[in-house]
Amino acid sequence: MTARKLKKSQRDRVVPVLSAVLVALVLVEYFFAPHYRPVFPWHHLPGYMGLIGLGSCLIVVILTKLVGKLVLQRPEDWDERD
Amino acid sequence: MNGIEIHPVLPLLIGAALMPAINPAGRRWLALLASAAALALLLGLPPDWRQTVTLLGQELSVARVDMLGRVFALAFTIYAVIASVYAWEETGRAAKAFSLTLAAGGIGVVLAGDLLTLFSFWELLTVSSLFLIWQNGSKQALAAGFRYLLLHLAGGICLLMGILLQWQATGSFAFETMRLAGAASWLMAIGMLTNAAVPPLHVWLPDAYPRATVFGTVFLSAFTTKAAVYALARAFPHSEPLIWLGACMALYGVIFAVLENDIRRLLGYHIISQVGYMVCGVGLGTGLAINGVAAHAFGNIFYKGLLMMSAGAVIYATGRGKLTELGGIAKPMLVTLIFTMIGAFSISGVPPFNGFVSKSLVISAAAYEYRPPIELMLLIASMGTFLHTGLKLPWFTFFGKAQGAAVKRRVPTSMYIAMGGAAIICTVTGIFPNLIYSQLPMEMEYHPYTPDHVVGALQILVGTALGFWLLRGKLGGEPTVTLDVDHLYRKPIWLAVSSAAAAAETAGRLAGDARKRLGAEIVALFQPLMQERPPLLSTLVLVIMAVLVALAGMLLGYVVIAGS
Repeated sequence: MTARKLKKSQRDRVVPVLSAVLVALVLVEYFFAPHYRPVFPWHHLPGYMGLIGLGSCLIVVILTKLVGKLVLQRPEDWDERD
Repeated sequence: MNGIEIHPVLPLLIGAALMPAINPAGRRWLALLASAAALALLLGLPPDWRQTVTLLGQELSVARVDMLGRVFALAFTIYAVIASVYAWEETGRAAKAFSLTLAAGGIGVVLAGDLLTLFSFWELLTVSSLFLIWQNGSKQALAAGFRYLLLHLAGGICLLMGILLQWQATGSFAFETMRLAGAASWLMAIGMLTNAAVPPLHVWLPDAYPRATVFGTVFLSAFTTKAAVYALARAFPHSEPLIWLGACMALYGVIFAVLENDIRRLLGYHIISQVGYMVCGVGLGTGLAINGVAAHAFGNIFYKGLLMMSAGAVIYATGRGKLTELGGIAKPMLVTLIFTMIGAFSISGVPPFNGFVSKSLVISAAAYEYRPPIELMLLIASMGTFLHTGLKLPWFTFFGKAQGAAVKRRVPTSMYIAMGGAAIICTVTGIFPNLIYSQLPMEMEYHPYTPDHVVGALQILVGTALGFWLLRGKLGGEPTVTLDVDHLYRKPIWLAVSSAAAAAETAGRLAGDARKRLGAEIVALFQPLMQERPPLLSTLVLVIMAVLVALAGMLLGYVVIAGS
């Protein structure tokens, strides 16, 4: 059940499967579920929610880790030192 | 329902007062009965029930049960019942009593009919939280408790000064909608924003909550922040600064959660993020937004409680609470894993759980008010919520590479019952949103389960999952602590306090035995309230602070009264 126990072939399939699901959701949105009450222009763009999910995930994690490494993170016993 | 119109905090306060006189087994039942009685009394109150008391010639409106307060009070009382079941194994006198007074403080705030009543229950929240944090008895909990107290005393003083200035200007303690302009309203707002944990006034939350006992944290996570959200929603709806503070807060919480390794601290940052949605909704102030605030607060109390309960179960069973020390316990802790996932899906807004039906209200309200950056910030915060509580936390706690964590203690049935109760509420109110929508204060026409909402939510979640999988090597916990803004002032304040203490020490030595005797008396006074003998220095600082605060309050009151 753990990451190690997933076979390599299974691990290789995660990205294609998730990508396929995402594409399918975009198609469903385009054909069957356009924005119910669009307010901004991009509400008409199919898949913008998926784009926000994936895009902001990559940007937030990479930027935060960078700032963490450079400035914010300290060894665990940092608080106890004087 | 005539005849039993009693303020719901009363059974909680009586229960807390009786706690020391009762044996440990009885305390469990007393806590449960007092919470259940509060719930029953609340349900029995007629709509728009009010109660006034005259004290020292001042008429106090101790209860005002309108729709806005009622939905918060309903969540608080139901949650108090669930948390009392969760804490069945906890039989400590002080822990039991202060968990009841904490609930009383929260319920008192959301039912307060005027500003003086609000302030009294506000301080009851602070004091109860402090002693609950101290129940852990560790050195870290003691220190975090003092830091908690300093910030909340400062916030409380701001609130009090604001209330007195308001009284000076208007001659009334009415707790109604105000405009966020001028010293009085800003001082009140700063006091409320401190308790709502709005950055940079938030540091007490991730600092203190994870240091309480597993039972203490479960109580703490529900009341203080949501009571403050209520106060903001009552006093300052439709305030531009709150929109931006809330949206930034929603992002701040998830960004700090990226770096967090301690599971309860990670959840603490997510409280900040979720309360951000609520503060933002208060700022937007439309009917839809205020309903979103109330619905999200209601949902948050249960899904965040469920997550804190599951994290507590992991810590209780394994004795470990860090991502880097956990992993590989999915099989032995399968039930806890399922409850964690229900809480995680709820907080992430996965349909059909309750986060989906409440978060959408606030995000839609931002869009309908033509605020593209706010909508975008809240959507990114949704991504971060799912990334950390829906993927990172369960993956590295239960799956991931085993780091030698093992189940050493069986999780008690009482904890499972409580988690089950919270999980049922999260699921049922998600599937049948009208259960919550019908309790909300404003009229609205809103359908969460339209195809575009559901597909949009699923797109965000799948996109986030894809990002998680691509970056999973980077996302594991790291054995580090993260500096937050408190480190900008913690060292300087500590230096000032220790030099003042050194000076006092020198002066005190001259006074000789008298000082020692006084110190021993003060420590003896506080000792029953703590698990561990408190250090003399900290206790003295506490007493001095309390005296200064009382003096400042009296002085201010005098100035205001003399000036009017």
